[in-house]
Amino acid sequence: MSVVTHQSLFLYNFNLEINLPMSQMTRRDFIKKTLLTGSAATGVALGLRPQPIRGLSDFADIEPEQVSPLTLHEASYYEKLPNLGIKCTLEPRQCVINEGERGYCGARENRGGVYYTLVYEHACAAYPEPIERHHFYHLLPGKKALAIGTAGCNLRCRFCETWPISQSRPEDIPSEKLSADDVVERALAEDCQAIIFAYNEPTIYFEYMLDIAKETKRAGLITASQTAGYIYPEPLKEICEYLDAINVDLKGFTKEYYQKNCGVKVQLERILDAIKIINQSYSILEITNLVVPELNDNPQLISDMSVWIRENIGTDVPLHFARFFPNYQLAKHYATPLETLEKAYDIAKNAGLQYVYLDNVGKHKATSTYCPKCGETLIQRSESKVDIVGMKNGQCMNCEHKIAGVW
Amino acid sequence: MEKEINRREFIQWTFAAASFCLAARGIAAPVYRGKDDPTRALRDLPFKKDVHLTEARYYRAIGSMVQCVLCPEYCMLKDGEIGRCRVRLNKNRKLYSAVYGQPCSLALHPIEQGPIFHVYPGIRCLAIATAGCNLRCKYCQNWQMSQFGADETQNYDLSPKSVVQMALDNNCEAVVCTYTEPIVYAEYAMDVAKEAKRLGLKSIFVTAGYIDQEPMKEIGECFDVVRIDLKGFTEKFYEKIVGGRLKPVLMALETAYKTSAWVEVVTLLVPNFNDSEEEISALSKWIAEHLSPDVPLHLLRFFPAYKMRNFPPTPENILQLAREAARNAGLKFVYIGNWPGNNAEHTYCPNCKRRIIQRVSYLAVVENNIVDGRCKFCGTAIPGRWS
Repeated sequence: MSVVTHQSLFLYNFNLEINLPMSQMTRRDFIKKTLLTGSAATGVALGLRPQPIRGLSDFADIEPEQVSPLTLHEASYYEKLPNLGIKCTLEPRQCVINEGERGYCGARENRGGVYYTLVYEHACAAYPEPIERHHFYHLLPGKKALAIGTAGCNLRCRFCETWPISQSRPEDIPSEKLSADDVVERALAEDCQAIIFAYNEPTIYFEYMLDIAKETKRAGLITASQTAGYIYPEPLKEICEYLDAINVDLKGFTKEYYQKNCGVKVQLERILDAIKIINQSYSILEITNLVVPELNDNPQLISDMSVWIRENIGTDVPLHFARFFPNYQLAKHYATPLETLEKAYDIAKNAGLQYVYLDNVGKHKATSTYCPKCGETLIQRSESKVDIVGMKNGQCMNCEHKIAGVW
Repeated sequence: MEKEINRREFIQWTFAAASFCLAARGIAAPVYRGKDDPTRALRDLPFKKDVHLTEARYYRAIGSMVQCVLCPEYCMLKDGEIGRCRVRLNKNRKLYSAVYGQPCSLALHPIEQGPIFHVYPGIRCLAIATAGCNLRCKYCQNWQMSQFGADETQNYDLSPKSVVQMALDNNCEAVVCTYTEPIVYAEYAMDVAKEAKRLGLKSIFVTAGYIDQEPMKEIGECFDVVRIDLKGFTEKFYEKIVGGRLKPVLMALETAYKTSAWVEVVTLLVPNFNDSEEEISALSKWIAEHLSPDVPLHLLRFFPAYKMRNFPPTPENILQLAREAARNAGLKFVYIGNWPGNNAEHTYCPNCKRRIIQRVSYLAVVENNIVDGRCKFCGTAIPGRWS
């Protein structure tokens, strides 16, 4: 009996509510209700918000890093266009930039018709690291190098390893102001024998790289650079004079691969031409290919690439097949199976290349250097350990075959 | 019409029932597996107060970040961040393990509890585990350890040497890394295995196989036995229930099988999730094709646990159907686990079909008719490690 009463009461109330004309709610009531609901919702939301991820800050005492203020430095390769516009002539993308805009790399800005680089003396990374970490196997094996990088990149590789640096804008990530002198000083203090321009594409901090390279040469250290080869011939030739070694990241061997996975519409020939220019220059060349499963692990393409290197560059250029680890936009992909890399190694060896390596594979016999003439082990590498076992003054101790590289 | 009880009666009954429950708890003795309470001997160990960090392996420094390449999560960690496993962290461009030498669980049990059936039947093992896991299985049976970080569990202070010494003191012939995912303490596990090998003990690695190929290879070389969970055979199951991916597990299985370690595979059947005949059939076919028909497959019965408390245990007929499907797909040794007293927990000779090892659940080996790795009755070689 009581249940019926309850229900009828409820219905009665309900009817009463919806029959109320809208005008009966005053503005004051409306605002009051809105504010009340809003604050209640906010309170609930704050209360229900998940706790921040627990850091182990109790036993990992970390100091917050600082972002140094941006400074302007005029860029060296650009053309002025009418109406304060400019055109970047550093790399083949040829960004046309209006006043106040930035280039594709995010590190160069047009201010009042003058093109400035924002990353000059603005290093986001300057760490002493083993040279092998940056895919240089024929350059001072086992020694340390100071690796320099800034924010920004002119490529958008979906598998980028260093995306926190390369895919950020200069003002977004921790950085420090390091002049060319400071860099060399730090390299000497950290007992480094070389300076490597790495992490992002060094082309986009061209002016900074050039000044550091000049300063480094003056101090008698070795300079090396990683690059994707996406650069115009003139700046490339200019920088080649100051670099002892260059590692070109030949990401794939089709135009489609570059377009789909690296964000550049480029004829493959342009990258290959850059490799040829480096090969003709004074600096020594190494080539790295990051093998991403299902995207560029086709044996036919690897074979084509090896043959092209043999025909156009020579058989004594070191070729690295690097293992891919899921990262950035391919974080849900899987790492390159070791069998795929071993297959690529065999293909390149069969194509006639003398020095083929597998990178990022830890302990593996294909990370060591062998004499192409007598097959003796010259440099033994396992994880982070490097032992020079069969080499002296750049020659094989067994058969005195000369090995290309800086030793 | 139902009999009504008044408030007084209700309160009386409630109190009576509650006091009975309390009394029963006091009277009934705790049930332990085996004859004596195995954990008693290890219980007096003091707990360690703070966590200490040891530099880990399998990582790459990338700028100020670190990428851990131990498991297929490949966590990118900023300075001070902790990985998905909750026990590995980046501190100043170095990856540290927060569980090296700090197990949170120690126990003694026979090797059959692995379940591992084709290796030294009946030997006693010392099982160790630390906090942390790289998976998030909704039916985890050890979530009190696996789903917590090193600073949330009570840990002992045991170097690899003391672990092996403890195993010797307790008459164990093997050390098992189990319960949680041992890959999160890979460095510790490998050091324990090396130390065990030095002193003549066996070492066993019980894992879900969610491991990168390279560490898997090294583990296969360090350990005598690797027992891998293949939790399902669909990416959906791995994504929804396990919190991982299938592809890397299959790659790890192949890698482990190529090493010198003995491999057994375990699948826990969750009703309506991964217990269909087609799925078990496909899984078994894959094992027979990519590994070998000799690899023992254990089909385990699911019991409600952790976040899947509201699902029923696996029906017994489903387990039998699954076993049939696996045998039809070509596997020679298919066992049913977590179902004491069933006929599929014994080993039968694939040739003469006679029972050669008789077991009682995971507890004991009653009868062993294997002589020099061969069936006593017909002389067929039985794959495994028998002496």
